[in-house]
Amino acid sequence: MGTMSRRSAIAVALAFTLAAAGCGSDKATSTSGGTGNTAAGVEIDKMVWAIQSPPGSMDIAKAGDVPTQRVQTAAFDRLLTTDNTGAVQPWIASKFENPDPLTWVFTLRDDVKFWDGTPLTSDDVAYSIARHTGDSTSIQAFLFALVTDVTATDASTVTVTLSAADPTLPAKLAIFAQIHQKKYDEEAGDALGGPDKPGMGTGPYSITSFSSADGATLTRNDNYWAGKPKVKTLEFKAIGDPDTARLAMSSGEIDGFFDVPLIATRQWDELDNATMTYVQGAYNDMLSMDTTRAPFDDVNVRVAMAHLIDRDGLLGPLFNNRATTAFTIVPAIQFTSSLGDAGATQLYEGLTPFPEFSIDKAKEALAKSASPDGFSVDLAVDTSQPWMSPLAQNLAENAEKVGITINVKQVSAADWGAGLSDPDASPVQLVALGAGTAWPNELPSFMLGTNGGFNIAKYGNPEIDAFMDKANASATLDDLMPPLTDALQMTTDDLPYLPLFDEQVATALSNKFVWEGGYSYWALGQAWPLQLGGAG
Amino acid sequence: MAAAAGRRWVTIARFAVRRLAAMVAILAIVSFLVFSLLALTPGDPAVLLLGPQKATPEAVARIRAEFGLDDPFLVQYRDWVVAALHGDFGRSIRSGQQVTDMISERVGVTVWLAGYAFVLTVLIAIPFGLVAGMRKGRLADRLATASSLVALSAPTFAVGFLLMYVFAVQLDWFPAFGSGDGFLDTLWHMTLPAVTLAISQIAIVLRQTRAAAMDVADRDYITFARARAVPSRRIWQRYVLHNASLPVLTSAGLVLAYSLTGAVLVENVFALQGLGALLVVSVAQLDLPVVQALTMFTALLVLTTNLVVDLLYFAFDPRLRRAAVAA
Repeated sequence: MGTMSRRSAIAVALAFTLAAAGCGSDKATSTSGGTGNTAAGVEIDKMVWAIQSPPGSMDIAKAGDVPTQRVQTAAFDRLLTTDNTGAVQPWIASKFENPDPLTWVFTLRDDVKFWDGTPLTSDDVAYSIARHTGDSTSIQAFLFALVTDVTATDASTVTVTLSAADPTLPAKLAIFAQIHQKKYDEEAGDALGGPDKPGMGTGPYSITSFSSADGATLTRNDNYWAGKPKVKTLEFKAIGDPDTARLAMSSGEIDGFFDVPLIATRQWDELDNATMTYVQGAYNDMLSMDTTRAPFDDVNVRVAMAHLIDRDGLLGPLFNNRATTAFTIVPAIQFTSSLGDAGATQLYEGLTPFPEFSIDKAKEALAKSASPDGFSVDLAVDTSQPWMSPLAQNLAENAEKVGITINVKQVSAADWGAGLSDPDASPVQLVALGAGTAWPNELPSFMLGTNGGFNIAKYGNPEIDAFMDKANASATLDDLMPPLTDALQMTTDDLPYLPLFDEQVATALSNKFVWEGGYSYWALGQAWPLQLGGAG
Repeated sequence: MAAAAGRRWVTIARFAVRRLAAMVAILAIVSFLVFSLLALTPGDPAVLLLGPQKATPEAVARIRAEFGLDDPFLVQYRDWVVAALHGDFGRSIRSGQQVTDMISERVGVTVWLAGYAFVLTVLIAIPFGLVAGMRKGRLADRLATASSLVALSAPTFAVGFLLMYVFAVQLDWFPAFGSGDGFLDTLWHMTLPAVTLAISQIAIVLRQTRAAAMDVADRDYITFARARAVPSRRIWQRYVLHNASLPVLTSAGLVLAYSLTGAVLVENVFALQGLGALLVVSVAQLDLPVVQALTMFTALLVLTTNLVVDLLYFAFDPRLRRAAVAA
């Protein structure tokens, strides 16, 4: 989830790319509780949200960056929902079961209707999932690569069959499998998701108008099965520059802004007609070093690099102290929500502490390495992520004192993203990754081990591979934690990745509105506009 | 006389046709250059669309096949040219939307902004430039010169935010962002952006006009006209304005062509979704069909503006018309 306003589509895509199940060991089966409208506050005519780039398409198979998903998730229901702790709960499916590791069975509510009044069928639901599987050109297909079959078993049941166990499936469905009407999609063809054929859904708002230039206007679905929302019209306007958004907020032209850049929050805090909310995000910033390429194939060099980063000292200048230093490559919120605060603390205390900031210790470590006199290396910084450039400059200054030359290269977000997967790019990379759920193996599953699909540091050896194989095969937290803890212990010793910061997420909301229960990092998995109402 | 006038028109028409042919050639060259440059740009649009994590080889291959990215370069270019000649510029890789639809959605904002700023520029820069040039060294001139220097040096985004803070937040006279619906609402929304854009343009055109007017002011025919007691309005209109018109026209045309290609900074500050904003997003995402079509479109706009300016030379300056006939 993009915590940085200027985070580009690519960073944002990275951020929410992998979703894993937020459900713990006992949550594989859940039944629906009350689903009534929970919004506090009074009815209100209109609310204007600013998003940081215009929505690309109303079809998530074509565009799924975070600003676009804000609009899509206000309009299209998903089978499941995430609560404010990141746990997956029933929604369109009143019940979901996992009778065996390769089968998921979803029982559908019978009172759900599309905006045009036709009832939702199990065929529509099966189609809405299947369109992202197999040979599909959906940009979400990667998430559902393990799905081999989706069948409408009967009028109220949909069965999903997998080729391998995937405990993350419910969370992915809650965020990415938006429910579409099959007939509408077939008639729309290539035009689906565009201004003329935005889509037909069942969600709390229908799409009145959408343009990839101007944003979108949504109108309340008065017949919404979970109760009608309090806000009648929801408008989304694209404002790319956060300073413009702040002035527009100040003059009352917009009512809400997601993902305020943390570096700018001091000015936003001063707004007298809006309130800022800060929540912990599942965002993790880190420095990756390619463990297969010199000089970083030497652990002493990696330790020296760690000693050169003043993580504590940078929290203020980079984030207005709206971030904390990270313990591991797993976003802290994933441990605190799955293990509790005490459990997370206990885990962290068991791990080797991060090397302290010390030029002398960096010198000592470097002296023990194969490059005692230092070396020269490039470091790309994405100019759209405000923390990267100052961090890199600071690191370069410290590194110079021990003989390491770091050439900081300012690049576009696209080039930065491309560099992460380019084998010819610099062996050192700054990485910003985000998680979609509370499942702690979400990032390690692809960042660690020889089989990791996005292992930028190329960190693999028989020992870590064995831990990761076990962790990746785990379907419950109890199974997951022992091998994951071992893997993280190895990672804190070998330092292929230097965990840097856990960022918060800042949201601005006009004082004319209330967000019942508070904005949550997991809002993209929710029918979030239901929680909004007028302050009255 | 009638025959001479007829010949004049034939010559001008011939000139226009020659220029049109050159325009087509330039467009062809530009299209090939842009296509080549995009092909040489590192990075894969399919990977950018999917994001590095999701970009499995299979997914990348499917998207590359869908957009014909695996064909040899010349084949891709030929397919693009053939389709473009039929008015089909393809679909955006980022959104799947028809490129022509995306451009037509946004061209209005850009034309409005450029046109509004142009009108402000002409209405302010030319009269003040003429006065400054004719009254060289006096208070009016010093004021105009000094303020145009300030306007030229002030960064666009800073001017934009300053105007926004004063007129949208403090005074609440104008909206802070967006483009509005309908004529009056659009006029209201576009005022701050247009003023922001116009401020530096006014400075450029004002200085050009001043220089041209200074040149005219020293001419014998002005002194002579004054001596003959020709009414001063007539001196201004017939003598000064007319004779200063060519450099003014040139600079005004350049300024208009520039802002028609998308005033990126102004669009960014006021969250206007014009052609400039679209180009920035599309280049960052390597959205080839959109970048290609936008370049063609803006090249066409610039070339057309230049052609119109060249033709206006004939209208304003009889010497050129006569030269055209003589040639």
